Amino acid sequence: MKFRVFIGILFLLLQVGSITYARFIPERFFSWAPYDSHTKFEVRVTIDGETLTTEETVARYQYKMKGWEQRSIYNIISLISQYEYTYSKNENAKVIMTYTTNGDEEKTWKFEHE
Amino acid sequence: MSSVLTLIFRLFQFEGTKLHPNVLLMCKLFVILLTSHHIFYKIADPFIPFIPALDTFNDYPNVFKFILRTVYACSAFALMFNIKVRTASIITGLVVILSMIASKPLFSNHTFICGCALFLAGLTNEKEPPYLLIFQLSLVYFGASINKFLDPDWWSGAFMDTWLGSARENPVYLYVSELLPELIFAKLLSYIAMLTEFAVAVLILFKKTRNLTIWFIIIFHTTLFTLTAFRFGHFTESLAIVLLAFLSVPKEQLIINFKVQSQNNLKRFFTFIDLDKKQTWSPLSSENSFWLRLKTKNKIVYNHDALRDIILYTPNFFMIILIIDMAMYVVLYNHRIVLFALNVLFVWTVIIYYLPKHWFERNKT
Repeated sequence: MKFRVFIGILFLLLQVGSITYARFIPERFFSWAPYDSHTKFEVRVTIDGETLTTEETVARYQYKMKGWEQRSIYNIISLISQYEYTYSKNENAKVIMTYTTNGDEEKTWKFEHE
Repeated sequence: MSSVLTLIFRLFQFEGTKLHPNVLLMCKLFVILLTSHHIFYKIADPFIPFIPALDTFNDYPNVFKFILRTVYACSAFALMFNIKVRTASIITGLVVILSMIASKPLFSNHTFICGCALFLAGLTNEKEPPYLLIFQLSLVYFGASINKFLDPDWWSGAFMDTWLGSARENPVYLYVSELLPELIFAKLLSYIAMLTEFAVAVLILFKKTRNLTIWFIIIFHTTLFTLTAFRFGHFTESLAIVLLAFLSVPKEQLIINFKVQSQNNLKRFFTFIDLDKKQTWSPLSSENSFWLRLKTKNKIVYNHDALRDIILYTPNFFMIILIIDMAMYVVLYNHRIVLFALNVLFVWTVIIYYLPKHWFERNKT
């Protein structure tokens, strides 16, 4: 088999692996799952008792923080968590996300540094 | 001056490279699409990367960003001007994918498909069909359908009702839903979407069903766009561009005969945009009953059949379509309903014009 075909098949198999892996985690990155859930959500961030505006929150995570999310809401949870665990380790940030997926009951996700 | 012109012409030439002309067309259109959607400026230093080790680059600000932007600019330039096209396509695709790996907020499926298609296109050649791209398309639909099959909200109609009913307040959906029992329409749309995607994933893999599957894809996404007025980022355009890779463009010269009295402007238009000089146009005598004839190695077709094929075999026609589409978006940005109506009118006109007539003729007999 030619080397380039082998690389191509390997690349495709990586995606197969990613699709399979997505079955065991709530996030849906690199698994060809766009528009599979629709979630209305809002994120509020408080640092040292001061709540950020929506614009400041968007600037913080560089992603929309209010409105409709067309992919898994856990993509956003993953994004926020990773930010807080890495770039914001020393800030006393508290994050609250309220969300409802596909018209289901409203849920709340919270993040707080220990 | 002439060498500058020669270089500029290469932008609009697709023959004589290591890629199939239509695959090269696909690659160039992706570069135009991605660049017009600001990929160059979106490439930045790692920010919440999928591979945490990439955060190391943040100790050296702007290094990652400038290197990746430079590589993108160079590889995109090479691809657009037919310089080492396979290598350029691979590198461009990898830059797109790496820029997303370096930033979770940047991740989007409509950009990922572009990166994947560019990377895989670079691994094809001009001798064999682009099997890797066929497998990639199958994988896209397979992933999408599997995810839906395993989500109870797709079987219950909850997703569709939330998306079309609550989020987009789609008037067509709301009107039809009122006429039917609760969630029936949502379920129907869900089941159609799931089954179509799974069928596409499977049927695209077989040569016998590939053409039919491509029609499935075109009609499915056009219907989706007509119903929702939504392109899912630029996913719809991206899919349409990938489908160009499946065109069977004849390798030999296209011999076209035309009636001078009625088709001279047609000839001038296609001659102008055929920078590969792949078309040879000769006048027909006025006694002929047909006004256009296309002769290739495998067939001779006449009139509208000929015109349909000539359009498909002229890569710059698709370049023009993409540029017009982008220009319309800019010009009609504040007139979205007009833009939507024009888009729908255009796409359905093309679909009806290209619908395989022999399907209906066979049914009649």
